[in-house]
Amino acid sequence: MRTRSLRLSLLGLCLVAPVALAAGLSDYEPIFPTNPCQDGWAACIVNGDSVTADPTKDAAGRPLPSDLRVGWFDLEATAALSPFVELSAYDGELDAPEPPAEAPVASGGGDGGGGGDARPVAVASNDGGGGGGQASQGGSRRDPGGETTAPAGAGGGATTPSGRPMFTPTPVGQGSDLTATPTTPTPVGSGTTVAQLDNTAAIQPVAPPVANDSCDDLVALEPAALMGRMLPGQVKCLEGRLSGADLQTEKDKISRVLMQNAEAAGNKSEWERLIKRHLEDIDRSDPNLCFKYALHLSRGGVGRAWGVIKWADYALENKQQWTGSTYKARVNALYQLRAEAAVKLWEDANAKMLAASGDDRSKLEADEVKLRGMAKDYSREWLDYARAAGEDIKKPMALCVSTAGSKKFCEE
Amino acid sequence: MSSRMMWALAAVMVTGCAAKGKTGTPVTVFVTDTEATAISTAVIRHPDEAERHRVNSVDGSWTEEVLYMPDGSEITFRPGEMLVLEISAPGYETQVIQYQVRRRKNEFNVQLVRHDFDDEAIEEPMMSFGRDNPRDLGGGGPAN
Repeated sequence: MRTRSLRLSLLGLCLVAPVALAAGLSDYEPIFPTNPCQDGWAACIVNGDSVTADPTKDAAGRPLPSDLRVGWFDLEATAALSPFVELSAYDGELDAPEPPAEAPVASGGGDGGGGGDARPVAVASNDGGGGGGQASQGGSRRDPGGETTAPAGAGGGATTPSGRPMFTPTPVGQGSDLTATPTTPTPVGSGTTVAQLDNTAAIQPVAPPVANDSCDDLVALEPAALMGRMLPGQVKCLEGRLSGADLQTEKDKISRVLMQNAEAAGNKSEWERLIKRHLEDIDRSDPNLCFKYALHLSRGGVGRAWGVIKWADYALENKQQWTGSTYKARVNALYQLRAEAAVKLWEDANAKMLAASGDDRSKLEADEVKLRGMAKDYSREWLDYARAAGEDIKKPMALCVSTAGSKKFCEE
Repeated sequence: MSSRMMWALAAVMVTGCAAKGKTGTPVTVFVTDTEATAISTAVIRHPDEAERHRVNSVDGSWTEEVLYMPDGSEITFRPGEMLVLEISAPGYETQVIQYQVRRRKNEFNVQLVRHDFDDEAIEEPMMSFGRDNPRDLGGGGPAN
C-alpha cells in the first residue's frame, strides 16, 4: 500500500514538475536587452568592443547582460557604464538626396544594411553594409515610447530615430573610457525639405465651400439638424419636398428633420408649429412625440390643458412601444400630466362659476361638477398606476384626495 | 349686594345666549392659502357627510352649528365635542382637521398648500429621425 502511494506521488511529481519548471522566451529578456547601449542603440562599439544584445563577459569570463553598467561579481565598469554618452555620430559618406517625389518617411526595414531584420538592431552603414566602424542606424528601432519608428532617408542617413535631422553632438565625458567619435554630420533631408517647399508653387488655391441648399439626402442633413444649423434654403427645400411628397413615410422623415432642426436651434414657436402639424396631419403613432408635445403644452396655461389630455391619451394608446423602466417612468408621467391638466381645468371652472351669476352660473356649476369628476377619475388612475408600478404615491394621493374631497375614495 | 348679583346673573344669561345658536354652538372656519389670502373655491365637509359646503367666496369663511348625515342623523356642535372636517379646494392639498368645540369664540383659520405641479422633473424623450428598418428576412427556412 505504501509502495503504491509512493509510486503515485512520484508519477504526480513527474507530471507536475515539467509544467512548473517550464519557462517562456520572455523569461530570458533581462539577459538579452534590446537596447544595451547607453545612447539608446541596439548595438554600438565602445573602445573597439562591440556591444550588442548578446551577453558580455567580465574579467573572469562570467557572462553578464550587456546593459549592466558594472560587473555583478567584481563591480568593475563595463562598456555600458556611462549614462551620459551622446548618440553615436555617423562619419561615413552621405548619399545624394532622394528625389522629393517619394514619401518623406521611409517604411520600416529600409535599404539600410540589415534593415530587414526581425529584431530592431542598428547596423553600421558607412559602407552600406553591416560591417565595422561607427554603429549607426539603418533599420527600424523601438524608441523609448514603444513605437517602432523608421529613420528617414535611405542608405543610412544621419537622422535621429524619430526622423528629425541630427545635429552636431557635443562630446561629454572626455575623461571617460567611452570614446564615441564626434563628427559633424550634415543634416540629411535638407534637400528633401527644400524640394518639398518648392512644391508649394503647385498648390492651387481652393475656393471656399459654396452654401448648398439641396435637400435630397436626408441622412446627410441630420448632423446639421441636430445642431440646429440647417440653412434657410435647406429648410425651404425640405418644406417643398414635404408638401409634394406622396408617401406618408417620406413626409414623416422630412418632418422629423425639420422638427429636430427647429428644436436644436431653440426656436420654440416654430418647433411647436411643426410638431403640431406632424401630429395632426402626418403621424401620431409615435408615443415619444405625443409625450413630448403633451409635456410642452403642460408648461403653458390652463388654455392648453385640453391639449395635454388629448396628446397624453394618444401617447398612452401606443405605450407598448416602450419597455422596462422607460415604460414605467413615461406611463407614470403621462398619467401625472393628464391628472394635473384636469385639476387645472376644474380649478378654472370653479373660479368662473363663482364669478358668474344667474343662468350662467347654473350652467357653469354643471361644468364644474363634470370637470371635478374628470379630475377625480384621472387622479385616481394615476394613483392606481403609481401604486401598482411601485412609484412614489405621495403626489397622486394628494391629488386624488383633493379632487375626491375624501380620503376614503383614494384608499386601497 | 342684591343688585350686584342681579348684574352677574344677567351677564351670564346674555353671554350664554350669544354663544349658543338655535341647535348647537356655531363654529367658523376661515380657509386661506399660505399667503393668508382667502380661497374662494374651498369646500368643507364632514368625512361621513355626502354634501360639500362651499365657503363664502369673499372672505373664505364657513359657519355652521349642525351637520346632517346621509343616514338622517345629525351632528350638533356642542362644547367639548371633537369635530372632524375635511377642507379642500381645487389646486390645493386637502387638509383633515380635528377641532374641539369650545363654549365660545369657535373661530379658527385653516391654511391650504398649493399642489406642486412640478413637470420639470419629468424626463423629456428624445426625438428620433425617421429611418427605414431593414426587413427581417428570418434565418430559418421552412419548418420541415
